[in-house]
Parts: sequence; structure tokens; C-alpha cells
Amino acid sequence: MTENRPEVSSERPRKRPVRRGKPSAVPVFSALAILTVAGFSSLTVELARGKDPALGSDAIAAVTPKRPVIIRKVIKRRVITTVTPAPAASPSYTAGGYSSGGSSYSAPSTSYSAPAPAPAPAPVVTASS
Amino acid sequence: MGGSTDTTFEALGSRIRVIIDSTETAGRRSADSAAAEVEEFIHRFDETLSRFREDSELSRFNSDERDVVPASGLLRTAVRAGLWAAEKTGGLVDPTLLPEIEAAGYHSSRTGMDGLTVEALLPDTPGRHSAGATEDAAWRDFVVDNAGGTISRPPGLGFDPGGTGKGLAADMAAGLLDGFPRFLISCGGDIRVGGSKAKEVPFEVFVEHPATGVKPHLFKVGHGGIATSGIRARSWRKEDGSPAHHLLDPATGEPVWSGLIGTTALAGTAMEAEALAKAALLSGPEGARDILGPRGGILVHEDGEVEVAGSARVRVRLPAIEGSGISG
Repeated sequence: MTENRPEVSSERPRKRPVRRGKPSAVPVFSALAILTVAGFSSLTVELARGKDPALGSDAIAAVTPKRPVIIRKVIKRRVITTVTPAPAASPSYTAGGYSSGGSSYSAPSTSYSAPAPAPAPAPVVTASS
Repeated sequence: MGGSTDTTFEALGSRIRVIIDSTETAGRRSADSAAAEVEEFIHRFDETLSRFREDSELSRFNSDERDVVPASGLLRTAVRAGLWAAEKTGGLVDPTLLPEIEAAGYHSSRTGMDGLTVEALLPDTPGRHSAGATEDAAWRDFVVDNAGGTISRPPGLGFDPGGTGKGLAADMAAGLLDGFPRFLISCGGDIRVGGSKAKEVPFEVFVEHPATGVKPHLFKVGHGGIATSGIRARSWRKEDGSPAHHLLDPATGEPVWSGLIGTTALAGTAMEAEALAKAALLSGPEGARDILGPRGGILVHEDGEVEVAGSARVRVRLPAIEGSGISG
């Protein structure tokens, strides 16, 4: 006679891990909002009383004189152009007559460069005369 | 021997300045003696070519009733230079507007006379327009015969070297300074620079604002010419009270109000720069940009704004000068 025994597994039944769920967003945001509002309220009250924490103590603020703010806008711009020698022939002049020497509107090349020390003893000026 | 010199004197109705640097002698000449030669030449140039001197060769030539008139080398050179400038500027710089300039009120030297201020000059003026050349350009009737030593033109057609004279004087004087390493000649602001050392150590040339006198721009010139033209320096009121100046529209014979009050031009020579500056002013802002663009230059607008023409176009607005109403 065989005995029908139920099969018995030698393994112990696995215990399912208990997973913790994420905290709900609502209490987190609520807490943050409350803290933020509280912080700003505190700062607002302080500022309303004239006590700016950024300025330090009353004593220092009292000693420091108020300085007038001067806005001075200086606009001074000078463009410097260096004129290098013209490669083209220039008009030439002789005692007997005038020769254009093939001169044309072609230009001496111009480029912008840093100013050099003034070589002339006094400024030379071109102006209508 | 050697050394440097910086000389200033009056001629051509303007202030002349000669700067010669010479670390070594040029031949046997010193910078001082070369400057004296330049001064002597420019006085001779003035005596020969002034239209305000009755005894000048130019005045005698203009009143000569012959078709063909014997002329000195200097007068022939001046006439050829004037014709060259007229050709190059498409007739804008016209050397035959003598009756018109006299009719406008410029019949005697204005040396030492202040022009009107720009503020006084501009408000009464009519609309702005560019100048134009005449269809029948009388300057084409001039023929200079160097071989024969004469100049021919219809009797009564006068020549006015005003558009090119000072630049030409600076260029010709520069020919007297060959061999000097660095020199500058300024004839009333029409400037010629030369010498091999000037290429290495260029001269600093400031551009004077025609309205305020401030100097908003500096060119470093190592070779060639730079010149400025403007309506203020030689300006006056006509008998009827209307303002006038010496830059005439060849098409109308009247002073031009182009929207510009000053122009400065760079070129290979002072005379060319002078012609270009005048042509630019006569042409108005758009034409001036085209004329000055290839070599560079400055435009000063009626509102005082300074514009740099050429490869680097910059408009510079400087602070207003108190009381002038015009920015510098």
C-alpha cells in the first residue's frame, strides 16, 4: 500500500519583499510651499521693519553715509586709419607741365591699427580753408 | 646740417605748414634751407596764380583778349591740373566758374575773414540736392600747348584755380623735398606727405569738424595726400541776406546745399585729394560715399554726424557741444 502523501517541497515558501511606495507628491510640494511662504514672509516682515539682513546691523548702516549716485556717460570715440603707400603711380608735376602719370581713383590701402606714439611735434589738422 | 624743422607762414589766403624731418642731410641741404625753398616757391605760386592780384599772371591771362596766350610753365601746369580734376570728377570741379563765383559774392580775397557759422548758414537754405555737370562744359575749350608755351581758349573764358590750387602747390613743393626721409606740406589743410621714412612713421593728421572745431577723426598718413573741403570757411551773406559759399553747382552756378557740410578725401596726391573732397561734397551723401569709398575719407552731415567712408564705414556721433545745437 502506498501512502499518498502530499508532495512536500524542501524549499521554504518565498516571502515576497515588501516594497515601499514612493511618497506622494502632494505632501512634498505642500511642505516645500509652506517653507517657501514662511521664509518669504519672514523676510518681508524684516524688510518692512527696515532691517535688511543683507545690510548687516543697524550700527553699520547708520555710520555708512549715503553716497549720491552719479551717472556719467562719456562718449568719445576716435577712429584711426593708417594709410599705407599707394602702389599705383601718382600724378606728377614738372616745371613744364602737368602729367597725370596714370593716376586714377585707386586707393592707398587702408587698415585699422593701434595708434603709435605721435611722431609730429604738434598736431597736423586738415580742415576746410 | 640735418635736423628737423616745422615752419608756418601765410600764403594762398591760408596758413601753410612745412614739416621736414631729416636725420641725415639730403644732399648738401639742411631741413631749414629746404623749408625756405618751399616757402619761396609757394609765395611765387601765389603771386603767379592768385585771381585776387591784378598783377598776377593769372589775372592778366584771364583778361587777355587773344585766343592763344603765351603762358609760363607754372600757369600751364595749373591749368592742366584744373582740367585734369574736371575730367576726373566728371565736370563737378569746374575751373571755369569765375563769373558765377564772383556773382555769388566771392570777388575779393577773404583772407582773415570768418565765414558764417554752420548754424547761421543752414537754416535759411533751400532744399538739398546734388550738383551736376553742365552739358556744354566750357573747360573743354582750354588747350595747353607745352611745346609752344601757350594756352588757348575763347577770349573771356576765365580760369579759376580755386578747386585745385592749394593741393597743387603742396604737391609741387613736395617735389623740392626729394631725398628728405620724411616731410609734410599743408596748404590750408590740403596736405601732401612724402619721404621713405614717413611710410614707417606716418604723420598723424586730424580732421577738424567744420561746425564745432573738434577733431573726431585721426588719419595716419604715410604717403600721398589728404584734403578737406567744406562750406563754412568761405561763406558769406549776399546783398539780399541769403547765405552763400564758394562751392558752386556747375549746372546752376549757385552754391550747393547737398546735405553735407564737410568732406575729407585721401588720395595719391594732395591735388587729387582736394578735387575728390570737393566732388564728394558737391555730390551729397550718396555720391560722396561712392567717390570717397575707394580710397577712404570722411563725410560730415548737416546734423553734425561724422561718417567714415571706405572699407570701414562707421558713423560716429559725438556728444553735442553745449549751445551749438550740433553734435560734434
